[in-house]
Amino acid sequence: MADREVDQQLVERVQRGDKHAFDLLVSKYQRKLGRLISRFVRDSAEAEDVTQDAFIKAYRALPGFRGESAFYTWLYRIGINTAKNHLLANKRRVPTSTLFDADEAESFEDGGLLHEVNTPENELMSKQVVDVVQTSLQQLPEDLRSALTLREIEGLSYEEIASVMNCPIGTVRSRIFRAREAVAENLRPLLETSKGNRW
Amino acid sequence: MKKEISALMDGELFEDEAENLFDQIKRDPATHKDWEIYHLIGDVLRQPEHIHCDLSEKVRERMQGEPTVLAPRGRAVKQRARAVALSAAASLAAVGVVAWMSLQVSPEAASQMAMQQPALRPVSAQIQPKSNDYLMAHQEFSPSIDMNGGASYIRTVSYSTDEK
Amino acid sequence: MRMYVALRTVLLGGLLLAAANTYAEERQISLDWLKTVAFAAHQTDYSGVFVYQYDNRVETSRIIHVVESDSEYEKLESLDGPKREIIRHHGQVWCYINHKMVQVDSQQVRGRFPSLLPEQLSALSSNYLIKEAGMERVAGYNTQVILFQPKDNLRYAHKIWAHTDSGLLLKAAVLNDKKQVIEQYAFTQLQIGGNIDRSWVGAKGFMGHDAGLPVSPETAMGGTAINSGWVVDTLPAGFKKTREIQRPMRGKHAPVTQIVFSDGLGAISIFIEPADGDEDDADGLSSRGAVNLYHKVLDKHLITAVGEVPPRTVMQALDSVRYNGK
Repeated sequence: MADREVDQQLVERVQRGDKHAFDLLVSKYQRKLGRLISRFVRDSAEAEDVTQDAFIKAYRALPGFRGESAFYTWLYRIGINTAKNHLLANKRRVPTSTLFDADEAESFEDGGLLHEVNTPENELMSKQVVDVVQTSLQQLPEDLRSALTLREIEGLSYEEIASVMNCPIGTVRSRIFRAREAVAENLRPLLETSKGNRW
Repeated sequence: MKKEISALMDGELFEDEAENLFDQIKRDPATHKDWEIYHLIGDVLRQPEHIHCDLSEKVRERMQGEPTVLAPRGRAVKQRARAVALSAAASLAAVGVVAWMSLQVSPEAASQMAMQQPALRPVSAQIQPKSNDYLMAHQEFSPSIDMNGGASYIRTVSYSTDEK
Repeated sequence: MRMYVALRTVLLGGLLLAAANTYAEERQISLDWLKTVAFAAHQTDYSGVFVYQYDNRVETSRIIHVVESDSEYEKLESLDGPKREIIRHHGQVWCYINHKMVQVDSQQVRGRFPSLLPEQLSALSSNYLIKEAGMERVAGYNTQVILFQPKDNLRYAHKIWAHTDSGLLLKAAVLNDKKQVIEQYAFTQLQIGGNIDRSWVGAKGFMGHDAGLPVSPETAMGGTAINSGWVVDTLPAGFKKTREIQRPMRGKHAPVTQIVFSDGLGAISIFIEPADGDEDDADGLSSRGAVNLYHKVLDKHLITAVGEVPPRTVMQALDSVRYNGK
């Protein structure tokens, strides 16, 4: 629930004229939305364009978002429509599988096909990122690793983690931060070099 | 400020603290990068099939050409309380029946889903080979032996041959 | 006026719930059928190939299970990756390790089949919502899909595809509260009954030397039931102690205490042994598929909790372990 609240707060900032708040939402959901759209649009460069389109459409439609559903559920529907319209405009077949709510669709992904979609450079980058994150995770002290796992993978709140790990909430906050920062330290050099290679 | 970003993204700050922090991120690109990288880490942990992408800059460029959207004021502001921890015995029974409907799938979708590989839960730290014997000792008394038969055993020896 | 509205809401709400429950009753899974399903893997002769998915892995294996003179024989071998083989017979387990078969376990098995009491099965419905979820074909057989949805977030959901004739599970999945599949296994080829290869079963039905399998003296002793004096205070509702033994474990010079708790679908084992002082990775949480493992050193003892339950449950269970004996 806390996650929804952060999104809602950012949405309201955008609705008050703060474009930068939308940046933060893009940073948060770009991979998730990109993966969804890749299921419709096979070519990776094309999928990236369509994902950008979807974000812009969402930005334009934001005044009409009333917070009745979660932001990502709303964004997800815009993503599907943008992808479908793109296929139709290019006279391509739209897959017939009816996708349910955002969470259900996330539960069933044809991971194998996504690799065909990726460019070789991006595939290498993706693999390197995963390796660095996994290795960093394994190297973390146990209490930091457990806290991060319970938060990011099990989705527990700080209060729940505090109860599970038998420690004060402040300790949970500190452990999660230290875990993130330790992984981030290893990731930053990798991401910097990739940016440097762009032309 | 990194520490605050970490708490902010988990929804663990009060509204006014969050507002202040959002203002600060606006002014400081380095802090924005922390937001990005912390979210990337979470995504990678949750998604073994990670596809790297970096759209934010491109979207930002396109947004510069967009008129600033504004929503009409006077909208009712929802009260946002701090997240309340679920009690350990939280009963799903009350919502059980309604929630069940969403699990019923239409026949076409069912056959489509059967063909797709289900996305597996993200990988957290792996049980090391040296703990295999605990797994095996547990397996013998686990109900999965009754239902699945011996099939579950295969996971207890997944790394056995790596042992010295 | 307000009270009338409130009362009406309560009555209507109550009626709706009752109606919904009636609908639920009509589609309840019968206890007899559940019992058949629970025993099918033990009673049926079958041979097949299945795919096991967990974490990032997809593994294909062959399994042969036959029943001879009231005991079960089972062989499991991997069809990809490095060679892995497991043979099980009447509580004894052999494993292919370091290029040879090694006996890894030997538990006393009482009776013909595990005693699954009717009350254990009916207890399932206290902690899980049990619903039929359609019919599907798996490996060419008709199956009924049954879903066990936990009533709390301390356990996983289980979804099973049971052969409508024999009750044998042809596919099974474990899901978390976000409906993500944590592990899944499914037969891709299957033969039920008929002519099944029994050449690997030892002469006169004995495994061990007659089947070319070693019998190791320490392991052969198995476990002894004891009252260890250790207790676990925090467990989810419905978890009952099913075992408390002292047993040898490979590579350990002292016997280990193992206490097992189960709610009928998932189980948690607590292992207690003297701490060597050179434990690395104490206080660690790790997982493989639906199994989570957590261990820490407490008072000169190494305590390990293992179970097919979410991390928070193994962690809370382990943190509540204490010694209550003399």
